[in-house]
Amino acid sequence: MIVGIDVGGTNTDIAYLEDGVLKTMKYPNEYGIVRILEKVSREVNLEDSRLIISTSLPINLISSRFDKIKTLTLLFPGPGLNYKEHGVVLKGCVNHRGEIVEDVDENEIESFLRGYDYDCIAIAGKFSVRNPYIEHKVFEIAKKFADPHAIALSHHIGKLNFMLRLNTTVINSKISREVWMLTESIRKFTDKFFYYKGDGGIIPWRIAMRNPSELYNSSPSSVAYGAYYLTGEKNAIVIDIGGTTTDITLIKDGKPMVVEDVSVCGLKTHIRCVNCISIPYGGDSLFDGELKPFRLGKPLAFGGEHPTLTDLLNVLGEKIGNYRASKDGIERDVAEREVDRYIEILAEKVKGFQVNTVIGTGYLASYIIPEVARRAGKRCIIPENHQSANAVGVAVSRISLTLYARFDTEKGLAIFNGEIEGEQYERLDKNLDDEEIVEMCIEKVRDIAMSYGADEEDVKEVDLVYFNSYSVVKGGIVRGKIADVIVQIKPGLSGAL
Amino acid sequence: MRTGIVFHPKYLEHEQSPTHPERRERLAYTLDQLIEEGIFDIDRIMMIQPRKASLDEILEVHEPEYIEFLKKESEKGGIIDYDTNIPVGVFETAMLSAGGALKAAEIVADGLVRNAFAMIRPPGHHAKPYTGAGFCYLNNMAIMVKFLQKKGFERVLILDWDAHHGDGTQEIFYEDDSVLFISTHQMPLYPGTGYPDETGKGKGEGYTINIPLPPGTSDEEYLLVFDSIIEPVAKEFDPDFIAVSAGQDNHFTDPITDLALTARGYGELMKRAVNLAEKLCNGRIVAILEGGYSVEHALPYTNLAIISALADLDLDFIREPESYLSQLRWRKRSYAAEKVRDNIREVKSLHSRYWRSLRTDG
Repeated sequence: MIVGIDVGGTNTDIAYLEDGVLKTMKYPNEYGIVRILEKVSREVNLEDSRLIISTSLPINLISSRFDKIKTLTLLFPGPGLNYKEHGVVLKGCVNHRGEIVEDVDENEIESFLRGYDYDCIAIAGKFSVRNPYIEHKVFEIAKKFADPHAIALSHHIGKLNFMLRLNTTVINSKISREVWMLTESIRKFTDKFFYYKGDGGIIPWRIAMRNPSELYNSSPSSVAYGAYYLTGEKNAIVIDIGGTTTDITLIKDGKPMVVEDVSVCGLKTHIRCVNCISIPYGGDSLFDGELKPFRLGKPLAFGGEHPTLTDLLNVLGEKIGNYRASKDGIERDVAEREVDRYIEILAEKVKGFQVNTVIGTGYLASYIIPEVARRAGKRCIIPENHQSANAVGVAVSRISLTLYARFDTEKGLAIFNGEIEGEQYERLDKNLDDEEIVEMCIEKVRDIAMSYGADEEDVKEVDLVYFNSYSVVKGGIVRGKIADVIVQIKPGLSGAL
Repeated sequence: MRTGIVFHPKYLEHEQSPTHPERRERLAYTLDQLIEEGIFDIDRIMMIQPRKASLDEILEVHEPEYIEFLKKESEKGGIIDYDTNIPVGVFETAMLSAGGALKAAEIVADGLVRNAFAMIRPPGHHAKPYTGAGFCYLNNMAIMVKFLQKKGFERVLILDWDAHHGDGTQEIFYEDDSVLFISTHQMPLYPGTGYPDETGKGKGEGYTINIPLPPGTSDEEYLLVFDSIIEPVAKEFDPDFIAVSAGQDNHFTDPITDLALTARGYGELMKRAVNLAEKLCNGRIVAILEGGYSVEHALPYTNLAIISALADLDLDFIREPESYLSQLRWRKRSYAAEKVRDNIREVKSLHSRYWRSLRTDG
């Protein structure tokens, strides 16, 4: 059994897939993940299922509480540019070859940990992806002063570019504890579940915990794959109306477009995720004479205290939920004006795309999207199970692992990303050529994915995302080779369906 | 104000042999450092693709017979001198390297960027019209300056601070009074030229200034040379374009030279050159990579220093890791300061008849 869950801003959607038969459910978030999983576990054995979670938790935390969560940023940049305005610059430095060329001063670190007021800690050293020693050492010290789940280390991000890594680490530090709490709740039901990434890949929760920013935008990504699975349309615009936002993504050849180095709260980061236009209105957006780009609670039709977009649709004659409750005191022409304005915003966005088909998903899709498509001059599809397309996308995706590797044949070492389960270091033959190195990484990522239960069919296509190698010469003799490699199992629908 | 960095992955491919000092890691490690620093995410820094130099452009400097020879040998491999063999395909890379310098000049001349760094390989300043030499095949600097002259720039200042004398460039402009060639270099050292009495010839007399430096010369002396000769003469010459042969083999860890410049010293030197350009020619300055063979310990930091100075970034943290500094203590020579002062005096006295600004009476 495959179980996909999307914890959105307002609701949690669940999709089960067994022998090709799909079943979906929707619960309000206020139930809490534990109660929801209890309900799910009454129907399926979660221990024996492949459970995959997509969540808007990071995105919500970042957009609502970014400045309120105080981060102490400890930086170990060594020689180079000036990073003083980005954090506390401390002694300790790794060079481009991963050698420790300046050690840390433990007293200096402790004095800063003692002297500041903070909720979480970000630790970033230059070239830490080539040797995490300094970050680990600082982590051990920082643990004495803070909850280890509120400390983020930059080397787990796995890519060069200290500035972007440090920004991503700051974001990780702010969201780590909440993601950890969610993870702990889920682990009460099963220890072997996966998180859904913003680029459509799937990673074991242990890897996600080291770099939770990978979950950023996972909901729009899952919607895109779900919409493709439900309609079979390879090229389309997907509009997902959620409770708080409406997200527009483009799928091309069956995949959403992925962007790199995404900026979050003005910080350029290493986050790689689906390209999504987010409009700050959804079914729960407050109406107080006009639609507001935020949510105060549920619609009147679902027992809430303030009218929302959903209630406006009821005023116009729809019968959503307890529709009679929606109609108190809202004039029809005002409702018409506001709904029209919302539809017009969407239609304008959709007009900009070359693609001819619009797929509507989310609870309100059938009330809104046909009119959006009509105004934009596009064909419209509202598939069955559209209310939970997000969870469906989660349930039908491959285990798309990314592996970051660094080879140093002089030292006879291969260092694999994540250091998960003791596979960080591996002894090497000293005479590997470039092709053998890449081949080794591809085999490695396949092995890891299959050990996490990936289908053999799904690991066939592996992308070489990055490769760089050069000889190391010392004293006039070639001593070995250094290579950096990033491989990733191509995201997509699982062939096992 | 924007700074262009001209670079192409092909510059990483050129290699005479994996153990040759002028080998691919020279830029590979530097590139790692630049990427890790996030240099290419800085708004005012633009990464620019080079173009290939045209045959006509290189024939402005080199003789057709040599180019024919280089092109042919480059098909099967050959040799120029003991230090400089011709690996297969080097002609194409050399054309792209020269094209990198041309591109850098173009984008500065056209105002797309304020200044630029051509991070190119193979280097060029030993190449003469009729032959390559000392790891160099085409004289990138000379090809670029000829191009600038054709574009209408009337007075170009070439500043060559590679540890080795830029004999090729000197020879090409030796009789040209529209190009002021100033070189600082270690002496004695390959190629053995660059004495102060080499001052130019004919119309070009006085337009070649050589300032030899003794082993062990460090930051303070370099800056002294800049302040007491380069800056006053540059102001008097009043160039409309400044071009720097920014060799980095004067670093204190360079394995084939004996100078003692630090990364910060490079930054300060480059900053002074940039300030001169700002004062004299609307900021138009191009730095071209030449030598520099301390691939691990120097180049990542010195290239960063040059880029930081060009882009007006903070130089306060430009330095080497502390563990490298013991080498600096070995390299520095107490007598160098005195010797440099002597050399400055000698150069001033030789050139005071050409340059009013070098006369002691003012």
